[in-house]
Amino acid sequence: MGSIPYSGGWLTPPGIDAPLLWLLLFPLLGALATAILGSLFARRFAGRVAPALAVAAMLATLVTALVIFFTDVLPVGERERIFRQPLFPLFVVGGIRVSFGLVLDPLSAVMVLLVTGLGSLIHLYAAFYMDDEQGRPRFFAFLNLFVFSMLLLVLADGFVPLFFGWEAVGACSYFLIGFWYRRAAAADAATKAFVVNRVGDAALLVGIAMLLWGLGGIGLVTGAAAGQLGTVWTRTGPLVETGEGLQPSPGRQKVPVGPTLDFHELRDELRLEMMSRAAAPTNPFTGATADAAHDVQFRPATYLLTSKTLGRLPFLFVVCGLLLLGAAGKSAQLPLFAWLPDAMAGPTPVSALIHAATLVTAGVYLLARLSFLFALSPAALTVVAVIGTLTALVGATAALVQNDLKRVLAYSTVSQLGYMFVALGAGAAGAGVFHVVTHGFFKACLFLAAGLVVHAVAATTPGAAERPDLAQDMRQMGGLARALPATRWAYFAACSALAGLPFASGFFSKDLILTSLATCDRLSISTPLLLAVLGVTSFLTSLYAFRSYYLIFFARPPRQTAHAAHHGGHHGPGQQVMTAVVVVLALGAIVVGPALGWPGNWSSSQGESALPRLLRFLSPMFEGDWPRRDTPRTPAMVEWGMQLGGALVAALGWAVARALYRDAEATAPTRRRLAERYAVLERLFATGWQADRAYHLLAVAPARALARGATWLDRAVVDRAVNAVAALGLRLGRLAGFVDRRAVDGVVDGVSAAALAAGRRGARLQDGRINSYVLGIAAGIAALVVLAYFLGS
Amino acid sequence: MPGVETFVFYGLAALIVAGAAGVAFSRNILHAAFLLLLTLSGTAGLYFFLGADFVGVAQILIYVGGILVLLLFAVLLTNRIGDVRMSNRNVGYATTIPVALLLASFLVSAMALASWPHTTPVAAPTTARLGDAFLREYLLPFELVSLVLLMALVGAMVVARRAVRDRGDADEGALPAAPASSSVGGAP
Amino acid sequence: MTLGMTTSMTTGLSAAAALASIGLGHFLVLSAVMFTLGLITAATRRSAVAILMGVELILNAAALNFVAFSHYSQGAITGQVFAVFVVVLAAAEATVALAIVLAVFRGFRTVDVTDVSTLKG
Repeated sequence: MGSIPYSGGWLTPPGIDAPLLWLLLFPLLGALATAILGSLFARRFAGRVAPALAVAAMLATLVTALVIFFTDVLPVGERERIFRQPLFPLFVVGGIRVSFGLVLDPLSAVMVLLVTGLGSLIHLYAAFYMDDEQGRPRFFAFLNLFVFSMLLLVLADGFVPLFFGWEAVGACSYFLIGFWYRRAAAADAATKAFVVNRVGDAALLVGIAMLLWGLGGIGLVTGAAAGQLGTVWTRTGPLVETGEGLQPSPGRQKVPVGPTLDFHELRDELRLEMMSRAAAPTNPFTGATADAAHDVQFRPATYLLTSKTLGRLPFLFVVCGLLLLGAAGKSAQLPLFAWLPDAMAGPTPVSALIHAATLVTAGVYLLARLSFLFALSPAALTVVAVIGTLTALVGATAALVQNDLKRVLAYSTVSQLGYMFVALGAGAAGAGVFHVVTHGFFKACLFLAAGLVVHAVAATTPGAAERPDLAQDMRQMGGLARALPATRWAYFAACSALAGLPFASGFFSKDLILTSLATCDRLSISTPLLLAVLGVTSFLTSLYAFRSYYLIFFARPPRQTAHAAHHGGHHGPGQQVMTAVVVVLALGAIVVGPALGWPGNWSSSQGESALPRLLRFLSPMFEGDWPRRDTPRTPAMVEWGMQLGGALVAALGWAVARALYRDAEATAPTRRRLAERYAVLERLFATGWQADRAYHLLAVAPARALARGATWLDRAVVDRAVNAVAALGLRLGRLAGFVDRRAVDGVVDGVSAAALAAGRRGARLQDGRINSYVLGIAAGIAALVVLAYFLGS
Repeated sequence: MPGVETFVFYGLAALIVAGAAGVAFSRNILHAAFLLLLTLSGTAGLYFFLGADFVGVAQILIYVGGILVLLLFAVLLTNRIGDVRMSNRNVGYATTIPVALLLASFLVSAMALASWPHTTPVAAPTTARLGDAFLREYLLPFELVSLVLLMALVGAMVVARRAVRDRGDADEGALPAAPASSSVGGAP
Repeated sequence: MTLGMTTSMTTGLSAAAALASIGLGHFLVLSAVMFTLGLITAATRRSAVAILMGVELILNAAALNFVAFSHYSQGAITGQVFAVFVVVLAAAEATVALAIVLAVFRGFRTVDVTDVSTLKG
């Protein structure tokens, strides 16, 4: 692929170029353009402006990603695939400089390719699937915005940009689930998803804060203590783990230590500390490894992290626990998973992109990023593995008894995410990421195929116009194998991948996970127990996958479907494109596994080159996590055993499903008997083990009680106070009025009355009677006489 | 031993005071008029007592013979005959009496307290001397008084006559159909 | 007031001897009394004519005063001159006053001063 002329490739490590930024800008600008131009031209060109712009933006992003990958990432040596793109500084708090930046390393590269690849395909599908919908500009704008947020999340170089992306994907999920906001179910589901996510986000934020605190806080350290927070100098670059210990790699001149929010810095710090402590375990405050080449001085910052305790819990365990909770919120793990089945109220492309391939994998990504941190706390790893196992089981059991096709797939996603968490708990983050990739393909394929099926069936399902979820009821389907051949085979392929049949990619990734778990020796819980549970889960997985397959495409005599006219009928262009996308994804679901994850024991090479390709690609990210592990060379017995077991279990599940559901009418009595016998179990499974009721008891009811209490307080106290004040004001007003009337008016009236009275009295002097005049004169004379008398005497 | 003059004085004084009291307090206005007559006569007597013969005579002639008669005419003209007896109610004693008493007390005490000369003039006819005074020292007042008399005459006539002339016009308060002409000296 | 009277009796006039000779003071007292009564008449009577009577009394008192003073000043005739004036003017005044009273009577049909007032006092 051609590249824009710079010197060399597009990126020159250490990169300060723009290309990483373009990865973000294309979807962001696409979102803006779609929103603005799509709305402006919503009525022209049959409303295709918005989808066209969105798809174009996605393709641009995909092309950019591919170019960067092939021209910059691959050519460079394995240990040098770290490209940084600082964007802008945010603020300085105490001793920490918080800035926004991007980093492209093997892990983020894999995620970027996954997101852009699947995203482009799903955008294309959605462009035709959402034909005739209202509000397409909004939909596609949010879809692009979502891709932007997800890319920001995976490209983040530290907790700050990660959290931005984290929140943004949550918001976009809310907008997209609630796309048909006029439907109560959709709106409620969106809110539920957001709120449950929020719980996780809160835990994540607290976890990050505690991590920062554990590293020594943000306070500015001066004086003697500052000398302890030193820097590690290297002659040539950052330190990376090799078989011979820490070796410099080109680029960085020094690794700053102390509190940091940057992933790579944090990882380097921790690994250095671990190494130094191993060298001098008794005195952690001395500069341990006096390595002239490395000039290492010890610092206590990360030491605090690993040796602090919170009550009786190790500090790191608490931090990891909180981070796990945050990841569980996004990735629909126990206990925060009940939002995912309800999120199926959104359009099918949304379910495919967000709730199968990308958003829900953000949690897995976070834990993979921080695997070095978790590696320091075996207790935390145990918890991760246990949660993953339980979630896988709960998801599988729930998927088994659902009748709504999309809900089956949703619970299936929950279950498969559990598998990924198991991988992380087993310390095999690479296996987890591998499963992310394969799951992305087959789950997206399943969802999009489901979308085609639902569209095909909706026209002939009674009542589907008002209640779309009726069309998703698998009991309404059946006998569609001949009507939708391509879809059928694609679905079959994806189901095989899901189930773990050996020819599809799910087998490879699942097998890798189970093998890692089997060889994991750090967990505090017995791994055989977990493996047993996971084995049962795999059986159930295969069972429900093929159950859905047979219910949709067989189970009944073949029938025709009426395809909606807006897709051009059965063979219209839209229909063909969508089917093509589904088929491509199905092919990916088959091919990706062997391509990226050919198991070591199937190949003849030894040592590191025996690692599956993807794992080898990701190895710089995960190896060297303390305590140092050798390159995992699992015993061949275990590997073969796992593979065989997995294949058998999957095949068993397929066989049972086929027996029960291929010819549904014949087996109806059997199934009914089974249903009656296990009715209680069925109810338990169907509600996701009563997760919603648990939420209600634990969160909703207390919140409502609190709200009632607050309302009561508001009414009894605040309102009373306000009313009292108002009444007081009223009384004062009345008093004032009274005073005004009586006193002021009284004075005024009194004055006038006095004047009148005085006038009246004065007027009496002039009564017209002579007598009084005479009297007046007489009185005057008398007065004068008296006066003269007294003055004279 | 008190002389004759004392008796005379006090007798006349008693008449005067009685008469004046009667004028002040009598219910019947006609009685009041006649008591006034008494008073005026008493005063005339006192004038004689004081040797002012001309003044005394003038008093009788003018005051009693003229003014009093005029008053009587007025009384009789302005009251219906039957009402004469009861028409003279008084008002306002409450305010008048105190004032009057006050005045009287101070006046009397002032006049009594003062020491007056005690001369005993010779009784002699005064007419000539009065005449002399009128035409020499008091010529101007004398002429003015005559003018005043003239004005009074004319004025009285004017006042009385206008009433007569206005008879034909709007007569407020007049008794209906009573075309009696009344002049100053005519019968009602 | 009684005090004044007692005082006057002891200072101006001794008991029997004072009574024996009539001095100026007696006449003045008398005229003061007549004046007061005339005042009372004018101030209390309702009939206009009666008021005129009171006025006559007052004038009379004044004239008596004049004559008394004339008598008790050596050979002066002034007092009597003025007494004559008073008499004459009283006559004139009575004439006019009675003419007015008659005019009023014609208008109001009464000479009661309380009734002939149109003032609202």
